[in-house]
Amino acid sequence: MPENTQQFAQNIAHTLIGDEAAHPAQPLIQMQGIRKSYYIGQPNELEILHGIDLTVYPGEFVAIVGESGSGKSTLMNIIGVLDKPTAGEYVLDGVNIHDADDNDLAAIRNRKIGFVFQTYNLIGRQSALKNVELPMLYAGVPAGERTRRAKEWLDRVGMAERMKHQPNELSGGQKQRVAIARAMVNEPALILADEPTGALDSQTSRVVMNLFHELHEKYHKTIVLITHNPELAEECQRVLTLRDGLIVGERKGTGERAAF
Amino acid sequence: MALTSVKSNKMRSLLTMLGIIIGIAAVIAIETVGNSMTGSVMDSMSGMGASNISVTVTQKSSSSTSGTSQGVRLRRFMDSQPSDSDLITQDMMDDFMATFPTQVDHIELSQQVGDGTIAKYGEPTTTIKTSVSGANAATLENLGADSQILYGRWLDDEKDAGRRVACVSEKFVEQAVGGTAQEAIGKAVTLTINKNLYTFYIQGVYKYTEEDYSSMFGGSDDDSIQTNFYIPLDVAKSIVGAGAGYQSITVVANGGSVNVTTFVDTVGDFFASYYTRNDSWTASASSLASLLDSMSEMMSTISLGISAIAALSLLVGGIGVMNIMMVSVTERTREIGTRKALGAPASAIRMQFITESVILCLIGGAIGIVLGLGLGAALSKAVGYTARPSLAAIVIAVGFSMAIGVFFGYYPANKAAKLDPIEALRYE
Repeated sequence: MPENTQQFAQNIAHTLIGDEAAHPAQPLIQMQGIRKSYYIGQPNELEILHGIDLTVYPGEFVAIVGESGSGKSTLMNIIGVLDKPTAGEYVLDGVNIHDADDNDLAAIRNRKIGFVFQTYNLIGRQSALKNVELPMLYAGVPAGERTRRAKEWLDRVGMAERMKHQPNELSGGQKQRVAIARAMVNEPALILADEPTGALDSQTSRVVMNLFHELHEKYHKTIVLITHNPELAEECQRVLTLRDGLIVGERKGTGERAAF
Repeated sequence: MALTSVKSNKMRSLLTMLGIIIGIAAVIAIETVGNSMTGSVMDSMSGMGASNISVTVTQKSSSSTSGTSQGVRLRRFMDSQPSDSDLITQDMMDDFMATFPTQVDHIELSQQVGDGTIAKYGEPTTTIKTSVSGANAATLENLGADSQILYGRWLDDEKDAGRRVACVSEKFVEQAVGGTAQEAIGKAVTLTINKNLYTFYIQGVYKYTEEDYSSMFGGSDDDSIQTNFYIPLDVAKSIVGAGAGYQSITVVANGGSVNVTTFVDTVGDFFASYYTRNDSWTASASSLASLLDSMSEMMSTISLGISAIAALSLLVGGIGVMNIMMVSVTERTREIGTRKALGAPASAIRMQFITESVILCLIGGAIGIVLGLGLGAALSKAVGYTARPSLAAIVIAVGFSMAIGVFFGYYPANKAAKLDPIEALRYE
């Protein structure tokens, strides 16, 4: 890791531990006028996001809902720093994304964000335990500590019994629970969940959603849930509606648990 | 981590490694054979004396005999035997000894007679073969530490000249004479040489050693062990009807006072000077060291050729590895995307795939080394040498496999490292 990246990582750690406690009101996500275009300079140039303003405070449970084609995925990629906006300001946990290079972005994803995907995206041929250890491997956590923390989180999501199993030996719900443990294991500031129940039946969806509520209530995690399911969005504190690349509505969730 | 993907595609990995396996196996095998060959020859030759210089009367090359007519040259070619006047004489040798008194230890002279057979009466009647040769005292006394006289004495150049006496091995006594070796001294032995009968009196019995000159070439296929039957030089010459000269002599240099490799040329020049006016014959000298040199030169030419083929095979193997790594990167695009989302920097992804490629090549190299050693050992055995694996070749092979892994793994690994995480995550 280059020196400036290391310095960058230290800054991240510093802001995480120091400032969060001192200024609880400082937003975790602060987006202003975010635009995203593809095929820039070509005849088929296409703007997906037309200026998004978004502020999320620590400890919030926010849902972003929208039909397919509304720009949900693009927004998620930008929130998750998998992609950089074409224009606009994005400050994540006190770090301006504009100044970060690819290695910095990788470090930010590793330490500040926990991803939960619709298709779980566990690494095949590796046990649940190894999968959960992976983010810590990239964070440079020593092997013994990795295993200890991975086991702890597998236990918290109720997968302690099956940590030696490979992904193809697990059901969808079990895979998603392993994926949530993997997202949590580096103690990120933000959990970014993209249609986490999209591939699950109603019963297991309930289990997974309850797990998110537990993370929110018990561990005070900031969660951004991206979904097309309005019922699911109602469970969250705040619901943002995305349409044609703009946030067109913002309201409080009813808090009512979806029946599926 | 890298091993799991190799393990999960055993067949594919094995096929990929095939080029590496063949290349490495070829190099290791040829190196083993070469090493065994030179090693064995070196061993047996050092036993025979590295300070021996053999001087031989040979035909001059045709360019130097341009004055002679076609017919004469053809005739000479047909019966390419030097006449008596062309041979190395005792006078030449005396001159030689006088010129180089300190450099030369002694000169060994011998005259091959051929096989002698002895009828052994009994049930059934058998014949025992022995290899008869005339030798001077210097030859016999320097046969080697193992061939020592046990009873009686070696032949003497002056005292035994013209006498029908012989020195035989204890094995010969056991097979052809009977009784103890001590009792055999003075006994008469009648040999049939070229259908003529000759009787010799045993004057000395020498120790029989299995590590014989002939064992270097795989040993004799006879059941009975054929040992040397030494008779005085002039007696041998009269049996075969040879003149006083020698076609070939062995000069043993005093290894302590002279560098044998350079002394060879001096010896060659000395004897060649007697032949400046001889149209068709000259004398040339060669030593075991120079023989070894030309042999290892030949060996290195062969291994260079094999190495070129092996290098091609390794190149093809390397491209195979690159190909399979490309396939692996494509197959695992989603995994790469996931790893990137989890915070893997490009360097970590690159390292992962290079490691995988190196492991693939190392396994291939290891299989190649084992196969090559087996093949090399089998080939060495087949040619009749004890197998000596070349450690240097193994070390180089391991290093080379790793280098191939890094070199051919870099491009696919770099491709993986540079994947856009969003594209990679979306990849079906």
